[in-house]
Amino acid sequence: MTHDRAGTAQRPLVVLGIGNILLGDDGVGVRVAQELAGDTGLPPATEVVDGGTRGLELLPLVAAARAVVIVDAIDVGAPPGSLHIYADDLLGNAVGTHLTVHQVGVADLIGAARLAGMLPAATVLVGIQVAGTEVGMELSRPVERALPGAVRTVKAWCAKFDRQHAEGGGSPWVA
Amino acid sequence: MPRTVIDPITRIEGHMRVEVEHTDHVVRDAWSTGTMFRGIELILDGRDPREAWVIAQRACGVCTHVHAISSVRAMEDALGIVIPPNARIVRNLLSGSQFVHDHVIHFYHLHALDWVDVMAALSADPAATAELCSRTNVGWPKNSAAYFGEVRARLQGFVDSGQLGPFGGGYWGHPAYTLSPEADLLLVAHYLEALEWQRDFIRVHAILGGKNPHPQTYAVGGMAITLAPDAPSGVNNATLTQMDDLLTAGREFVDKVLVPDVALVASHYKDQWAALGAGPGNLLSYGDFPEGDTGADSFFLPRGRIVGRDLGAALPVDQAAIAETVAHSWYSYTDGDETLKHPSVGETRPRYTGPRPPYESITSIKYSWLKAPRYEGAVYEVGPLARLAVAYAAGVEEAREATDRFLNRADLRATDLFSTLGRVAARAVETQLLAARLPVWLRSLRDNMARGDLRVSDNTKWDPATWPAAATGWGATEAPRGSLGHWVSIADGKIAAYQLVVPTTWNGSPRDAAGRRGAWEQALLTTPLADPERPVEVLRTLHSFDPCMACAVHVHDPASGASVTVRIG
Repeated sequence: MTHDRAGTAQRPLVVLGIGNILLGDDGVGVRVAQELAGDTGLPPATEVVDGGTRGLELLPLVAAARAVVIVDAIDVGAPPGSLHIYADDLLGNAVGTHLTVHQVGVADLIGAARLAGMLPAATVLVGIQVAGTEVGMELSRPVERALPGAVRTVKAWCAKFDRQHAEGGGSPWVA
Repeated sequence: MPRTVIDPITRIEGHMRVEVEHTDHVVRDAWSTGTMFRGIELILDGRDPREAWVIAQRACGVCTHVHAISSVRAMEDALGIVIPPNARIVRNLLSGSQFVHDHVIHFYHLHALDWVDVMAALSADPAATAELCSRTNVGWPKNSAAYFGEVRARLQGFVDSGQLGPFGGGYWGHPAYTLSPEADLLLVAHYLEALEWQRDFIRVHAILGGKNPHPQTYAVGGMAITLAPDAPSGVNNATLTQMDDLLTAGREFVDKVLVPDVALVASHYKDQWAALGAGPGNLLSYGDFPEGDTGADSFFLPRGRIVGRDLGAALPVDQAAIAETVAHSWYSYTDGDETLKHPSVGETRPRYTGPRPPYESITSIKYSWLKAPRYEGAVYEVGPLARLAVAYAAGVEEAREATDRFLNRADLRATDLFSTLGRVAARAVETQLLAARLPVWLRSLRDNMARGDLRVSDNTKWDPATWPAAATGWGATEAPRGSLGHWVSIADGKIAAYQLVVPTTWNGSPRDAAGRRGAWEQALLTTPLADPERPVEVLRTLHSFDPCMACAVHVHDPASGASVTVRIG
């Protein structure tokens, strides 16, 4: 599902949907990526990737990116379907405490990329609060309803990043 | 008796949980719990058998290829399809390179931190580390006092910034860490090098599996990939050369860094850890990596069993002897929970009787979402040690040579293999075997293509109209962490029943109807605990099995922070 409209030599802006589509809302990040694949409203040289349940295998992708938007299911005790943005220090706190880089994607991927000096300065996590992660390929109603908003949020971040990047600015997001 | 709960054992949001009971700083009993209902099988019922692999590969985060292979093999077995030699080779290349990638990551990025005190590395002398490196990693160019000084400074930078990432939350300073600071620094440096290494090595998968991180090129009947020496895409002369380069560089790292590093750790810790973590002593491997059309007879890593730690004989495997009981699992069987049911007639009917989470301790009779698989009713261990022991006993020349070479180097005996360190050693030796074999498979693919054999799929049975009204199949493979089986029944062109028995179900099995503990429940008995609040010794043995059950959970919990929960009850 990789989507690359530009074909330029520019380092891509990567949108990485993470999660297990077999476990209900856990797969919402992948569903957002599916919605975004082929979207013509994304900046040039944007790659949308279904990262699924992969972990360190995604490191080449992250290392080669000029910015990374990770979209993933989260559980922070907030209302189901609510969106939560983590950038900079918040991102470190959100994902920084895990010890394995083996099984679970994002925490380990970011930790390892940071350790290896491969983490793009502009990295953001768009989290969607889950209602349930039971076995099944459908999203819960509140999370399903949150999809369009999540898609808009990712597109807005990408557009803003692209604009500021062109103007030589830094990370675009103020959480 | 006090209990220590390790939840989850992989130090991530997970669904494995282990309770150990200890007195006088020694583990006396253990319970292994899968805390999450999986039941992926239920999703597959009624679906098109040709598409099952797409769903099955999502069952596990780290084992996508092996689930895809098991699934297509189950269909090919049911429908009587023999895939072309090139498809066999491409699958071997994909699976074999996943093994090498996975094993390297497992050692450096998960397991090494159980043996290496990252913080102690800060006090290492870079010149002495370079000297150690020149003795350990002979011929490896990344070695100088200046280099190790830089790595130490980089590590100091992480510590000073407070962003330890994967190094946060370790049991640093624990008395069980006894390597020299120089050995610690050497292994931390190689931890970082392995990150870079794996980033390149995994490109083999992009060439053969497609650009998407989940493989896209499997198919019932072969592989959906183009083989053509002069074509602009697919497997052509350019990508063959590229893969050859990647595999050559990959092998160099395995031979000069991984294997010597594991030997360094093994020889240092052997007095204690070659005598701990023995497990059941029965080992099972379905075998894998076919090099001909004769099935299991042509496997590079043979099918077989070891019984009672006897390396003198590799006994045969009959999949009909595999059966699962749910006597201590949160399921019910229509014929009684103590029954042993073959996976082809398996049932997945959840019936939770455990405590309402969050709980301190599980004291119910049933205590896991994992079933208890048994072979002829007996407990078996699966994984690299099982594969290597079977290959050794079966007299596979390469396996014997590589194993004996490692044992010599680390000053171990063959009987020491049945231990926590033995599992670590076996994984490294297997990595070496496969890293050496991958270029051989690649050459045979190149030779076939040069001869004009470009067939990579047999589509004669693609149309369901060519299928029998009912068929059953078994798709067996070896995953990096052990034997993996998919059992399928097809009726009227649809999946009528599907059952998976995954490696961690074998190794992390709960007790069976006779009360026999599962593999790692047994392996944990007599584990010392210098500090029960920081049970790094338990993690050493558990991680030596490379548990995979946490892989299906991807819900972050930014609010709670650290995910290790150690409680004394």
